[in-house]
Formats: sequence, C-alpha cells, structure tokens
Amino acid sequence: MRKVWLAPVVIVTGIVVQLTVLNGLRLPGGGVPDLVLVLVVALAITEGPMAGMIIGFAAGLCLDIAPPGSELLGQYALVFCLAGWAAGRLSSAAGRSAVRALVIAAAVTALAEALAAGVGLALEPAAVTTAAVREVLPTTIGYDLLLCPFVLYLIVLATALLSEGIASAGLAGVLATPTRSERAAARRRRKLLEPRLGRAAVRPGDGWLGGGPRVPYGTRDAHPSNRAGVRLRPANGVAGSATGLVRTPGRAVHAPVNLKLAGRKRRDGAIANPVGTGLGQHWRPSRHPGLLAGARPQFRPQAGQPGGSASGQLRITATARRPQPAIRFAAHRGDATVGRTLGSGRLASPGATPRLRTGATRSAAATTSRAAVVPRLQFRAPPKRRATRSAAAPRFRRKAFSLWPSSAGTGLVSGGVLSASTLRTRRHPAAAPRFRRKVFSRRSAAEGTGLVSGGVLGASTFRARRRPAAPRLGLVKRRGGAMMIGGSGGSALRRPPRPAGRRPRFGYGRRSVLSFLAGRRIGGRWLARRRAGSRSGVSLIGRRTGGVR
Amino acid sequence: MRDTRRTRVVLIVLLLAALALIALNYSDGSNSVVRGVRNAGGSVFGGAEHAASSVSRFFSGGSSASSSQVKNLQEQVMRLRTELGQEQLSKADYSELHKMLQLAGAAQYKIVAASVIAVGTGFQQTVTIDVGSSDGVKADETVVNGQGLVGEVTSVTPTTATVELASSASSVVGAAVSPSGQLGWVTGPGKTNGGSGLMRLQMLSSQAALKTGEAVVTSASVKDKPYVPGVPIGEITKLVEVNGALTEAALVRPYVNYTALGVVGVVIVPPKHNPRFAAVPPLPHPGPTVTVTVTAKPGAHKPSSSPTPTTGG
Repeated sequence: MRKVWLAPVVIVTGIVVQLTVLNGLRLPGGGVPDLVLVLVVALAITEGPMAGMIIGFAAGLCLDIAPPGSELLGQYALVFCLAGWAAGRLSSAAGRSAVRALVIAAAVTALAEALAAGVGLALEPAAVTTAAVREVLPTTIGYDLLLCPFVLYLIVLATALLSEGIASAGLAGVLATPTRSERAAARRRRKLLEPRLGRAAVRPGDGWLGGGPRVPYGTRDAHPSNRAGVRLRPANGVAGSATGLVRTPGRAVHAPVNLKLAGRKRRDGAIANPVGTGLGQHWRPSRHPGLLAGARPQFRPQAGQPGGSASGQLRITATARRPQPAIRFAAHRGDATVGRTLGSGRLASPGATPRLRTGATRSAAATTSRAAVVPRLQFRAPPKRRATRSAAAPRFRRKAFSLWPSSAGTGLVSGGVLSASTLRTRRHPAAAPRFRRKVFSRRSAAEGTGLVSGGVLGASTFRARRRPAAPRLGLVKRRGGAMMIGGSGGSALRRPPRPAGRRPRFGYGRRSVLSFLAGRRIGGRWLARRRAGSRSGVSLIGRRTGGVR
Repeated sequence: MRDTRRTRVVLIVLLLAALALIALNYSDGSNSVVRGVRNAGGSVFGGAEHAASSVSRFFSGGSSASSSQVKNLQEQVMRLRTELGQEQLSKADYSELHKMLQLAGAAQYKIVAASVIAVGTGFQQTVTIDVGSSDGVKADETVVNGQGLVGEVTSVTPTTATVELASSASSVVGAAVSPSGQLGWVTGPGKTNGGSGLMRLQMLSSQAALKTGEAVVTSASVKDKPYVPGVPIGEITKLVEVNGALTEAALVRPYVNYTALGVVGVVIVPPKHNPRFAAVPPLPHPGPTVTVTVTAKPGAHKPSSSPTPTTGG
C-alpha cells in the first residue's frame, strides 16, 4: 500500500467505527472518544500543516455528511481543518521527541473539542445546551486524551512503514523502539554504534571540522582533500555520516554531536560569504578594499558585534557601544547577498580586486522613467539592551551535513549545520542576522530551506532565533518602486568605496514577477544607471562592459 | 512542505469553504446542493455502516440479527405475530421486538422494524436506522420501540433513515397526561450523562394539575405528523415550581433509554382512531386483593364466608 492511501483509508475506517461503535457506547461520564479528531491530529503531526488541514477538512466533511450527519453541513469540516492545520504547524516543534508530539496532539485535540462545542453552541443553540456541554465536554476530552497516545503511535508507525522519509522515521524510531524486545534493541544499538567504514568518494570537505576551508578557484587540485584517492568514511546510516540517516523504522540513529568549543574563525558570524572569502592565498592586506580610501580595516563582524562570532562574547559590553554596522564592504560577487547560492568563493576570479559593490545594476538600456526600486540590505543599529547579554555558551555542532561539495558552501553556518535542537541549547547565542524574507535556492541541501549567509537555516531555525538584539537585514524601500533582493551573480560595479555615511547596498538584477511585468530584469545595470546617473555609474558600466550605454 | 504562504492560502480557502457550507445550510436546510451532498454521503457511508453494524453485532455476542433477517420477519410483524424463531434473533433483540409488537398491537400502529446502525457524533441526538425510502419510510414519521417514543424521521435515503431522538433539546413533542388528558409539550434534555437526563413537561392550560407517577403520551398531531397519537413518552417524576409561572411544569422520566437503542420501529401507517392511553404500560399499583376469612362458629351448621376487600400495598 502506498503512503498516499494511508490517510483516506484511516479516516474512512475511523468515521465508520466512530458512528457505528463508539457513539453507541455507554461510557461513564456520558462522553465518547472522538476517534476521527484524534486520527486527524495524529496524521497532521506526521504529515505537516498542509496535508493536515486537507485531511482535516475532508474528514470533517465526511463526518458531516455520513448519516446520521450533523445538523449543519460543514461544522466539523471547519473545526477539523483548523485542528489539522494547528497540529501540523506545531509538529515541527516536536522534533524527534515523542513526548512533545504527544503533548501537542493532546493540546490540539482538547482545543478542537472545545471549539466544536463552541461552534455547536453558537450555531445551533436549540440542540446544544450549555448544561450538556458542561456535562459531556470534559469527559469527551478525557477519553480523547486517553486515545491519543495509541492512535499517534499507530499512525506514526504506519507512516514510517509506508515511507522512507527521514523525518517521519525519526519520530517513528523514537516511538517504535519500545516495541522490540529490550535485548534485541540493545544489540541493534550496539551494532549501529560500531563504526562501519566504507569506501567512499572523496569529498572536498572531508577531514575538516566544520566543512573545511574555501578553496579558491584554480587551486582545487592543490588542496589535500581534493586529491584523488579512496578514503574511508563512516558508511551511510551510521553515526557520523549525515546522509541516509534512518532508512528503516525502528532504527533511529542518533548521530553523535560533535562538541566543539568554537574558537574564533575567519568565517564566524560573517553574513553571506564573509568578506575575504575566496581571496585565499591571493589575499594581501594592501589589496583589500578595507584598507583603501581610508576605510576602517574591519571587514567582518568582530567578536561580539551584531552578526558577529560566538567567540569573545565577553567583550560585548566593551564593543557593543559602537553604533555602526560592522560590515562595510563586499569583496566579491555574491558577497553579502541574501539568497546568493553558495560557493561564491569558487566563482570569483582569483586575482580580483576586492571592491565595494553597491546596488548593482546591469542594463544600460534604460531611458524609461518607470520607477524602480533598489532593495537594500540594511544593518540597523542594535538596541541598547544587547549589551546586557551574558557570555555565550559553547556551541554544539553537529557533524557537517554535506550533500554537496562543501567547498560549494553546503549548508554550513559558520562551518556547520545547526539543527533546531542545537539552536535550542543556545539560550543566548551570538546575535544572529535576521532576514525578513526567506530566499530559496535550488541548490539548498535540505528541502524548503532558506539559504542565508551561506548556511542552511531551516524554517524552524528562523523561528527559534527571533530576538530583538539581532541586527536586522530588511528590505528597505528606496524611492518608490518594486523590491528586489538577491539574485544571480551578474555584474558588480567596480566602484571605489563610498564616502562614509552612505551605506552600501547589495543586490543584483533578478527575474521576478515584477521584472516580468517590467519586461526586463529589475535591478541590473539599467537600474544602476538610473540611480547612479551619468556622474559615475555610466562610466563604470562603460568600462566594464565595453562601452555599453 | 513548510511553505507557509501557500499553506495559509489553502487554509483560508478551506475555512471559507466550510463557512460557506455552514451558511448555505443555515439559511436553507433543504437546499438542493446540501441535500445532494447529504444523499451522496448517505449512500456511500450508509452502506459502510450497514456492513459495519452487522459485523459489530456479530462480534458483540448475540447471534446475527442482521437487517435482512429482520426484513424476513416483517410479514409476521405486520400480522402482529410475536412467535418468532428464537434461533434467528438474539435474546435481547427478540424481547425488544416482542415488546415493540405488543405496543404496536395495543395502539394499532403499522410499523416497519429496523435496527439502529449509527449514532450521531458530538452533541447531536440523532441515530441512523437501516430502513429507508425503499422500505416505505418517509420523513416526519414516528419512531417507537418497545418502551415508547424514540423520535421522528428527519431525512431518508433509499437504504437508511435519520432519526432525531425525542431526547434532543431541539425536539418538541405534543403530549397528553394520562388520566386527565390535559395537553402540554415535552422537550428533551439534550445529550447528558448516560442518558440520565429528564425531559421537561410544560402544560398548556393553567387549570391542569399534575401528579407524580402520571404517564405522558403523545397527543394527536395534524395528519399524524410528526408524531402519531398515543405513544408513551414517560412518567412524571417531579413537579417543577417556577415562580410566576401560569402553568404547571414537571420533569418526565422517559420510558426509552436513548443511549441503548437496538430494535426500533417506524410507524408507517397511523391508527385510525386515537388510541389514547392504550399503549401506556400498566401502572405498578397492585389491584385490590380479596381475602377470605373463615370463622368457625361452634354450633353452627355451616361456616359462613364473609369476603372483605382490603387494599394492599
């Protein structure tokens, strides 16, 4: 049986059982368990909000029309749809914890029962009396809660048996383990924890904690990790290998957490590819833009600054008084852009001069007066109270999760994948950059993951890290028009650093709905010329593109 | 799957659809769309409920009293024959059917026997029975069982019918009180703990005087819809005193246990004459007993007997 059929089969069976058996039971207290609701909640927890609310709506509608049917067609559809959505929405907070999933299921079930009673009271006051609600509702909720663990367990087990999804099987593994005999489980666990080494192809990030360094273009072969050869690596499904975590239910592999007291690294806390990435051996202090034009030599957030690293948090109180945003200059294409695919260090030409890039433009062919807008990523000065934060706790990192070559910047936030659980252990982490809008990339390692600052941050990560202390990257409207953010690495204007006081803007031309309407890429040279005027922008464009105006 | 924007759009669409259905239903319950949807659902789920209830009855002890076997007995039911093959019915079903036939015979109803196959969810007081329009059942017909009034048929599909129980808070039954014939109406208690709720009887006339223990039956309705006359409802257990009320009110304990319905009957042909209180179960009051006292008199020829009626109890 395919997994698609699980929900319909379960729901129809549940409705028939509910109507023919459960509702006719005479249980103490007068209530009967609402099996269909519990099934909807359990399915939503395993399937997520979208599937959850569709299942809930369908189940509620079936319950409405199945004889004897409800007084008002649609009242159970309404309640169960909301319940499915809420359970699916909250299920991401459950992680792999069975207890948390149970608590969520119980809470949603109880609330949905109350909501159903409320809807009945509101819509059919003749048939549903307050006295009846007061008498029957508590026992109904009680029976529902009794039913919850069993139903949830069975649904999760069925889902895991029918699918190979990592997420569901993870929960299933947690839940299913007690069913096996203890001895067999212990043996299996021991077996799994033995390192099984398999011949594996080389990956660029092998052997490095935190994903390894960026390899500048042209020097890949020189890097030791890129040399041809067969290497041994933990096999799939074994602790230590991030891929193929759990393929079979009941075999939850708890990948060990590599504890790393993170020292200060170059990439720590940098937003996007940190300034200087990709420079590699070509970096010379004299060539760095930060040293040009009298700018302050501060190319990435220092410890303790907004967007800064986790190290040196003790110095926050000393350094936080600086109101200026820390990131001043971009070095390369792709730098400091939101949504830029990873690995710009490889794309950059090796000897390129670092340059400050502002709201870059691409098209020189615009004389239209249509208004346009440059999206700006703007660092806002952090609130004052940030200075009261305590020192950062040591960070725990999971082993790098590398589906793509890690030199391409796979899923690494300052060198590692931060799972939601990791983040939860950090009560006072380093200030995290916040982005208003998630940008998706086709190359993101995990489904539905927004790539931000060269790392994989799941949606839950975003939720977990909302904090007023963080510097914010916001889309700022500028002189009317459309908003645009990030995009394909195209042109970068070579411009000298702007005088102090003008903030750098980041952005590339991008095809979007608005650009479709406008008929050209928004942003790009056209925009730059419009914005920069003939004073500087055009000449720069001309030089770069061979005189296109 | 975490695309929240799309999720939100779909959620809003679904909620609006549900609200639209509710509004459609609320404004016009007999809307053709609603009726069509309900009929489709009834034919799909009704069949499933038929099958499930026969399966569950098979497992629940008593040998099978499936609907087909009940149907086989319908001719005998019509002729008020209570001699049914006991091997075909479980004992409980048999006694229920027996009592129902007695009631129907006393009040001269023509009934179609049915069994309850599904019970409404939540706070609804509705059940589904396994007879439908193909058995001659129509909406607004009275449903009884061996004890008394069960409810009325609200909607019919070819194979199932939905019955609104008299215990529903929204049902109002015209009633007559047993000896006096005073009229009033009875409302149900709604869903309560184990069906222990009492119905409420409200009299129409300020002259009416109520006593506990009096029986309440349905009164005559126009064209005998939705309730045929003479069906026992319950027994007055307590008088309710409401300050300032012009008429008397009382709590009525129903004869029927609405949470344990098995075999029921739909009255498809009402009686020609109002049976009044013919179907009311006999009062538990024992009748007068005759005691014969024989006193032997010395010297008398023959003993004389003197019957002395005394009331017992």
